[in-house]
Amino acid sequence: MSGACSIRVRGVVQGVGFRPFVYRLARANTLAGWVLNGEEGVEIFLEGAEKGLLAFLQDLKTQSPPASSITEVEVHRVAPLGLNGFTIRESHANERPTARISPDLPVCDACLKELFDPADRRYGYPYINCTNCGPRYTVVVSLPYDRANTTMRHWPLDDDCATEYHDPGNRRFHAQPVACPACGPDYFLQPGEEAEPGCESSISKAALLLNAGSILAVKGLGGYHLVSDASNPAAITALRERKYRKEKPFAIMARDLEVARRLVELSPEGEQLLTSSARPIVLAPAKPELTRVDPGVAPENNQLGVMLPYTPLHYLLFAAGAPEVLVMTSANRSSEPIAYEDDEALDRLSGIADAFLIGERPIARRVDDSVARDGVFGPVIVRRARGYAPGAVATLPTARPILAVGADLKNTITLVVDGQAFMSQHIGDLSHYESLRAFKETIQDLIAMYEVRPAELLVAYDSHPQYAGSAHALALGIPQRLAVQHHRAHVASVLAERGEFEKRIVGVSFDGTGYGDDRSIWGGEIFAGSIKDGFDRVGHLRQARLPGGDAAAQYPVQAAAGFLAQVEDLPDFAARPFRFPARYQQSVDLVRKNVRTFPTTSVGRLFDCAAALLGFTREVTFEGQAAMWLEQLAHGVPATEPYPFPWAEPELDFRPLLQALLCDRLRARPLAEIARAFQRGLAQGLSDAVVNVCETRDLSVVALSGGVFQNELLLQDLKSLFHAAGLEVWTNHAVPPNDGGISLGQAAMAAFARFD
Amino acid sequence: MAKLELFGTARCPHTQEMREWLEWKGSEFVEHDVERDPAARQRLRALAVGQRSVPVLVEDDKVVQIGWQGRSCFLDVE
Repeated sequence: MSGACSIRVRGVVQGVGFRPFVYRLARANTLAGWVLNGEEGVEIFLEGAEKGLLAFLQDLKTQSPPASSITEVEVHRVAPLGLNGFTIRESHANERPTARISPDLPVCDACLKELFDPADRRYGYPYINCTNCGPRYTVVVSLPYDRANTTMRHWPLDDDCATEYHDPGNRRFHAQPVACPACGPDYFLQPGEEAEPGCESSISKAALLLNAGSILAVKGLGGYHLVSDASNPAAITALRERKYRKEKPFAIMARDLEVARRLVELSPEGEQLLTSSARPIVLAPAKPELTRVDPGVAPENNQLGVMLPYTPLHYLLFAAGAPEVLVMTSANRSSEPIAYEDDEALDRLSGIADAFLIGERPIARRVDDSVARDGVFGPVIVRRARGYAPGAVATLPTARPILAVGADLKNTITLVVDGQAFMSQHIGDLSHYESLRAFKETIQDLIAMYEVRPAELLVAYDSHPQYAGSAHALALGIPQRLAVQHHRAHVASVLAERGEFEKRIVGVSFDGTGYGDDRSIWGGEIFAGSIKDGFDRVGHLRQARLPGGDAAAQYPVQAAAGFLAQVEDLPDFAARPFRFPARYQQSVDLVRKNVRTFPTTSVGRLFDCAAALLGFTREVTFEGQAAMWLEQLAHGVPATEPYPFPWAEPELDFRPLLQALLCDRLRARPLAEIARAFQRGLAQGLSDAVVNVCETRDLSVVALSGGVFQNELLLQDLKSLFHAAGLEVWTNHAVPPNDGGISLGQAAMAAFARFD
Repeated sequence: MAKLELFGTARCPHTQEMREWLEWKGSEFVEHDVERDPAARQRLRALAVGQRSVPVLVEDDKVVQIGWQGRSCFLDVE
């Protein structure tokens, strides 16, 4: 009994060794036919004995390559063609692609074994890879994923590599970026008397330089890193000075899991994240007894961001004797996007790096390291980039293509094609020229990759009239346009991830800033509704006046002037224990005269105010710093009695909260206890509000999103409160809870917009 | 009683939803079609500088709400 069928496999099935796997499986079952990378996934034609066909279909799902992920298998019975043998056909281009480009993968164990085997011809070769590992998104120039469409097209395969590439039994069968020292690109160190080929010696020299305290610019998968010895205080100080980065923590790379375990407290889930194929930077509590890392790596911070090696070059550097813990920070000046082109890197990083370890393989697009943590509600991605991008983050029930351009801070873009929402890598702060350029490039990149015609698109953008990203999106000449309010986009992002479009919930969006319906600065919002029906604003933080508007985010005392204007019996803040700088009094005057002040309901600014009262009176040097400082302060203090933060629909009143804080501060209660009682008060007040809204509207689920919900201590308190009230809590997992998740929320809101 | 004005366009579904909501509440309001009425457009520009989406709800010459439950249409006229 024999038959034939045509099969289409969708999911992450390109660039992960899927065709070779299909080839082997077909041969093992003595089936004839062919396989090819179509633009809608992998297409297979099979004919042969019925038993073989069934066995094939069964094993297709269960034995597929580790890096692949099948979402759908379509099988059609067809008439046999009488084919002989099984072949891998060249890719063809026709319909619009829904096949997903694989994110970049870390080097696999088999390649690592060869890398350190002196008998192997790729011994010590920093560009070793195979169908199970290596670069993908950062080398793909266009689809389908074939060598001619990657940045490896300039290196023709030599005979040995070609043999492997064409041998179905080989691990490098159709591995597009395959190369070897004889035919492939190389790494070299600059400066040297001349560019020095022979990668092994370049890498050894680089390791020597690191041990001597030098700062190196090292080319990685999605851009350059600045690298230095994490235990060398002079190197760390020099790096901070040269990068104009005063206090923001640096990420570190630990030689292996053992070293990482010595540096930070890792839960089993944290270890899983650290060793996952995305290899993100994992945020975890630093171990106090640690001596290998200079405190300058993460000043005033009890968390460290740690990652493990993921390219062969990283492994080679450590093997060559580089310090076992390295600072590895994106090579850029502060807040600019990561440098990824060689000339650009040499230009922008001269004066920062002492030497450059440059790889010849071009990078197709800039992709930063991702950042994740094992949070109170499970794993959270704080920055979604290398290893995750450009994966699909949600499926939306819409046929029309949507481009959602995100927010101006922590920008990402989401492109929806055939209902699949693909999210770009983290792009950054669009007020920087370089980031704005990267933003424009990424839009073009995604539209081209998925062959979307701009005329068909619906563009969704933030309703903020001054956002640079929105302005650019509106200037694209796309006819259908929809403005989406910032905080509702946050809430929608949580629901979109879970595929809940009609479910009515209470959505809480707490962050620093976003443009509100009434043109004021929002950031403490409670909604009720669904993505389909839209969200009603049912509650918010009591309105304060913010002198200087969004610029107040820079100075906690400026925010304090706005909030404290509504509190009675204020002490002299110029005196002890507060010692507010002159900026405070200037801000008070602005509020009194009501000039250049803007109404706000921002919880982020309320945190700033509390931090200022507890001693954070200087300028912040990165977004959210004062709030993070306050959270750190409160850590480790047992749950104290919460300060009152009463809910009187539709307002959460911050006045009693600040009054209690002030009172304790003047009584010289320990700062950590005050910080804890403030956070507990916030949690209790929010919980009271949500429980009340749920009762009056018969709802039972609360969705939390926005930058404030990166505060783990706050989430911990909320978890027990909501749990006790019998409410289900939904948070972000696939996309960041900060503004990096906004583009997904916008896309989801747009998918349900009516156009009559 | 407060003077309510709805600035919107005939083809914007969010304007329609806001109108239905106002009617359902029994509010008295005046509606301006900013696509057809250049003078209304001018006034909206003056009331909400930089604002290029509708619907916009104005109470006693003060903008109180932009958009309907988070969504609003881009105003495609100069």
